[in-house]
Amino acid sequence: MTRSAMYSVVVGVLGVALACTGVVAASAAVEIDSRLPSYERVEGVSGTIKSMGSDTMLNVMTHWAEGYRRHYPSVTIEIEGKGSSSAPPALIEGQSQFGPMSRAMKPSEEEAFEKAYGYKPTLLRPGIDCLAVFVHNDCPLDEITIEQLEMVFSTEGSEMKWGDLGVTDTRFRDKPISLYGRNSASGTYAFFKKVALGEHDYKSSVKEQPGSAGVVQAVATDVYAMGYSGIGYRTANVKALRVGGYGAPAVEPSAETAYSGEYPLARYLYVYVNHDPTRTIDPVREQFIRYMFSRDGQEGILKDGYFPVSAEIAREDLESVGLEASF
Amino acid sequence: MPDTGGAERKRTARSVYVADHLARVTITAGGWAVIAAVLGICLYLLVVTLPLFRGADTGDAVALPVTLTPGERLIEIDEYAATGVAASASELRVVSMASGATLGSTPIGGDAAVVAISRTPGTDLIAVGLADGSVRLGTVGIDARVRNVADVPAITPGVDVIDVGNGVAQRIDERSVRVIVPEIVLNEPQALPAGEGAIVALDYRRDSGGRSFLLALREDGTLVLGTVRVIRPLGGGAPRTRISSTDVRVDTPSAGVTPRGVYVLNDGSDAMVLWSEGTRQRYAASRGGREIVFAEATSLAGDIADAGVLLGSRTLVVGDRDGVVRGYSVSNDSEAETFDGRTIVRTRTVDAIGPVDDLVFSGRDRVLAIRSGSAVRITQMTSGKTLADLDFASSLGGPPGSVVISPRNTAVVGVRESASAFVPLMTPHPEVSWRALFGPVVYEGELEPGFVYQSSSGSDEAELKYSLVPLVWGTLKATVVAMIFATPLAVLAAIYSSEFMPPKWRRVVKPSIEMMASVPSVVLGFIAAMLLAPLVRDVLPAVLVGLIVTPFVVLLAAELWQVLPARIAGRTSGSRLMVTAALSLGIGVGVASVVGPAVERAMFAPSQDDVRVALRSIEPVEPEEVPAWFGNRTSASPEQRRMLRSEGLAFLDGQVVRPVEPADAAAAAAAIDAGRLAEPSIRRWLDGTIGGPFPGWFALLIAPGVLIASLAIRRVPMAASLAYTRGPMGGAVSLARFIAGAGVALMFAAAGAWSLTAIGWDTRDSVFGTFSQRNTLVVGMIMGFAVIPIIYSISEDALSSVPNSLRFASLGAGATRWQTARRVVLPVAASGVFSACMIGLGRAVGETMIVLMATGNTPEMSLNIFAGFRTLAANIAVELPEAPKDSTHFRVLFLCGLVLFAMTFLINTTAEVVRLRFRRRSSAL
Repeated sequence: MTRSAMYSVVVGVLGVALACTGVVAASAAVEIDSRLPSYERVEGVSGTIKSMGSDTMLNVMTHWAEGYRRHYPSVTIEIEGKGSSSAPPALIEGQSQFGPMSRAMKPSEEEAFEKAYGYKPTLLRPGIDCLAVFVHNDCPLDEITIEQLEMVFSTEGSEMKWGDLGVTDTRFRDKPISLYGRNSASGTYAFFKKVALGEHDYKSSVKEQPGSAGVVQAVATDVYAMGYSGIGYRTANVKALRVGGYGAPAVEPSAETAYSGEYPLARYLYVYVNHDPTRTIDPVREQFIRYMFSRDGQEGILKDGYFPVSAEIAREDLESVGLEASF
Repeated sequence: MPDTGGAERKRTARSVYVADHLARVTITAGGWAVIAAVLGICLYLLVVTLPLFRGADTGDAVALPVTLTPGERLIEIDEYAATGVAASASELRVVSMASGATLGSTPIGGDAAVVAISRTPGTDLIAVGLADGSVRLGTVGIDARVRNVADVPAITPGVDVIDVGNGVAQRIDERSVRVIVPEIVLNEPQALPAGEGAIVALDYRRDSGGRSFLLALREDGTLVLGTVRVIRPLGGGAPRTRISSTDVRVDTPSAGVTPRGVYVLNDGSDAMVLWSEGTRQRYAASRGGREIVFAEATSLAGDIADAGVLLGSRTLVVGDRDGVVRGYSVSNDSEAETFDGRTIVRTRTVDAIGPVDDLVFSGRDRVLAIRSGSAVRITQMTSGKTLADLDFASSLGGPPGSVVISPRNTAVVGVRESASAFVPLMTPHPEVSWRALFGPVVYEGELEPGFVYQSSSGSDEAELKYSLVPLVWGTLKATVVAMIFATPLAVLAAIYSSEFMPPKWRRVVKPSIEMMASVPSVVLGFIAAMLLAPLVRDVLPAVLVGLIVTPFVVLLAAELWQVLPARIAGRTSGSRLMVTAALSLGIGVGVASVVGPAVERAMFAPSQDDVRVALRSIEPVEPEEVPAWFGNRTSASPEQRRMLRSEGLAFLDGQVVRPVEPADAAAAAAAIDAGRLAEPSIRRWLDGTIGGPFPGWFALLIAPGVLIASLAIRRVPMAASLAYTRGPMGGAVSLARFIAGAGVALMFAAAGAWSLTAIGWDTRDSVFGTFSQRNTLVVGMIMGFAVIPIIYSISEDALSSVPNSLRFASLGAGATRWQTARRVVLPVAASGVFSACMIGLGRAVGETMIVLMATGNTPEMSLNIFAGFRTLAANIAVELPEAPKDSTHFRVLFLCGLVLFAMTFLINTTAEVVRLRFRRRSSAL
């Protein structure tokens, strides 16, 4: 294992520890699609895997890497999570085999990839996330709309106070909302900008944190704070707001609302791979992909507080890299 | 004595010459290598950044076999430039760009005639408006698959492009082939829910959140806005759609004018109607698309030729027959007289080659093709950069009937009925120009020109902003604040340790301060972020007061020491004096921590009105009582809010109110207690919700006050002469002088602050402002800590190398040690001290880790010392991993490096020039 892998694993474990404290209640109700099979080891798998991309998915990738290495101890796996935007350059330059991203690639990124290889990168959707808007536990606010989020976080709105969101508590009413967000390399930053802010710029008062755990930690220590990050990073000191918008009622970020599409900030977690459609994929990557979509892989998704995908999506994605699904 | 010389020469061993020669060669080579390396780095940075400023490369026009039938228009080509779609009044025809053959056609009219087609670049949406008032919505796209050569028998060796069935096969390399099949889907005609008569104009686009909007104007003047929101269940299953629609009756501005087009902007919140004589009407829709209301009408100069919407749907671009193309967007404006507080603002102006005929929009970015006759100008609307000028006169033999930019901006295709031509286009960095990097730009949705750095987004639709000005600003701000902290401390420490400190102490103190330099900056950054920032937040009043009180207490201690009788003072000299001095520093900090909260209580307490507003114990104000300058605004800037407060009013929830006595005093008292509303708070003052401008000015004016006081006191000759007499008498006069000076300084600050407050100016728009935990003050302190050892160490060396003969001469002439240090030693060593400061400055400019960890890293341009910032160095560190090689972003980051290099180069060169001047002066000694 290289240094960066060691570092990543340490970061990952820290993140997992943070994530595990508060999410158990939310994930208990979610079940993995019973049609997904348990992972079974095959012979003749060796080599190296390098993954570079999303910080939101760092924990998940680390979980998968651990599980995968239990079956294939000879495979070395290196995982880095600097942000979704670091995935396409690494895939294009051949530095990584997997590019986990918490947003879809932009056409310009796909095009740069296609320019180098002649075909487009293949996208897999091994999990579902609700991007949650967090406030401190003591905050009286319980729900927010997409329209309000745009005013709070983007340059469209002026400096907002809690009272502007309908908070009547005198302790909060006249206090400015202290905003936390992710750095610009992050897919979460980009997804939130696109879906919640309508592509308007973030206010310059949004403090950029290099990791999702950092956002949650900042919100946990600042009573007047609001921040966004993947639901998987929720801890006991913060509260995820119900989110509504476009005239629809506010709903809790949960598996049901994500599956039904009611929660407006629900998204797939993506893993991009460089797959030449005219060739068959190599066994190291094939088995890793099969592992992601197996019962074991989906348990990893659940453990990190995200939501598993259905067997249909798993089948579709396996077929997109030329693999036959056994279910 | 020739003999002696000869003997000397004989004794010099050969090896010495060899060594001498070797050393000279090595040193010369090393020197040149260093120069070459620096130049090489500079050259490399230049090579990487120069392509940013180039326009587009265009290839030679290639004739295509595509021809159009009369009345047909090419509306698009696919991203591989393999197929194109031509629209006529009856059908959409797919043509192969390579062979010109018709690959398929889709009838669009049905029973009624087609009157309008809207095809939005950058999406696959198409909408067709029919004469019977119905619309057909649909998509135009392609299905592209990469296949093995063996699977596509038509591709034989030597054949690269060939029509296959209803698609086109393109060879990628020896093994693989791309098969492109166009897919056009048109739904059945749908009647619009409101209005009568044919469709006159329509627009169909999609926002970044996945909603699509249809805006249609009908013959009877009904403007219909339909919103479709598609909800995709992530768990699987069919997408659900939610449709809503609203309509409004449009007023024709004057008789005889006809509508030129309708455009939906800003994610469905604005609808524009453009009329033939140049009136532009804006209708604002509520965010859910449930209601649409007239907002404003303005006139455009010029004779409109064509108009359209830039990618991202924020800018309406209008080209007129005078050859000018203008971009307009809708922005928030607190002065606006519209009901929604927004107004149309002109953001861009670009010149065309001649009178504008057509505007063609790219689906990839803000690139625009402006056709004037047969000439086409390719330009980028944010940077205003002209990328290329093309002419289709020779290749087509006349002006093209339609021009299309390929979806990836890789080609421009011009088509006439009889001929068509394909011009390859390479626009690697269209969004960068000198103006975009360093000049003010009115960005989409902004009211005023500004400097913004926003280099990434979740989609290609966002306007990227590459102004380096906020980054340069952040770099300078951090450096200046750090130097304000570091320079006085480090230089005074150097003077103290070289001139006053007992030598045995100096041998310990100097290396330990130099040890400070070996603390890695990442550790300092960590300390700043995790320890100092929360600490400063918690004891902010004490920290701010301490900046003034601590030096005061130390000086006061010095004055008091002077008053001591000689026999006691004599005992506290040398190392004991040093301990006493350190003690006074500690006492200063202690005093500050007591005085700080007291100052907060005295100067930052909310007034009765402030408490009442926080309680919402208010009454509405009659319209005639609202100050005339405020008008009937529905929003107010922080400055306007403060002005209202100074008149005993307040601005809450969109209206002006007056604080009144609470009805229920007991309940009010309880609420005040629960919400801690009456508690003094410097942070609430910084937010601008309580207090007036006085404290800010007072704090700022103390420094000039001290300066004026020290000048004024020196003018009192009696005191001056007495103060220099040693002993209790002189000490007492000196003390009195000091205290009088402090009083004068405070009085000056108070008087100044009072008069500036009376004028109505406030520091909270500039130097002070909303407190953010990771701010300039914290970074300045810790970065000051990082540069202190450098400045101290070099200054100390310079000061100690001043020959003792000068000191002795001065002391012998009766000067005190302080006078000697200040008037003799410091001027002689000035060149060294100055270069020490400059080296410190150079270090502060390039410092990365501290800034990266201890600020919010938001590229903000404000003077506020309690706000964060982003420096050039931190920007490179933050963004390099996400920048694909050779992309615009990548090159802009290298440009940041080049600018940083230029800044340090400039500082170092200035430093050297000034240092040499000092040295020349002091070498005369």
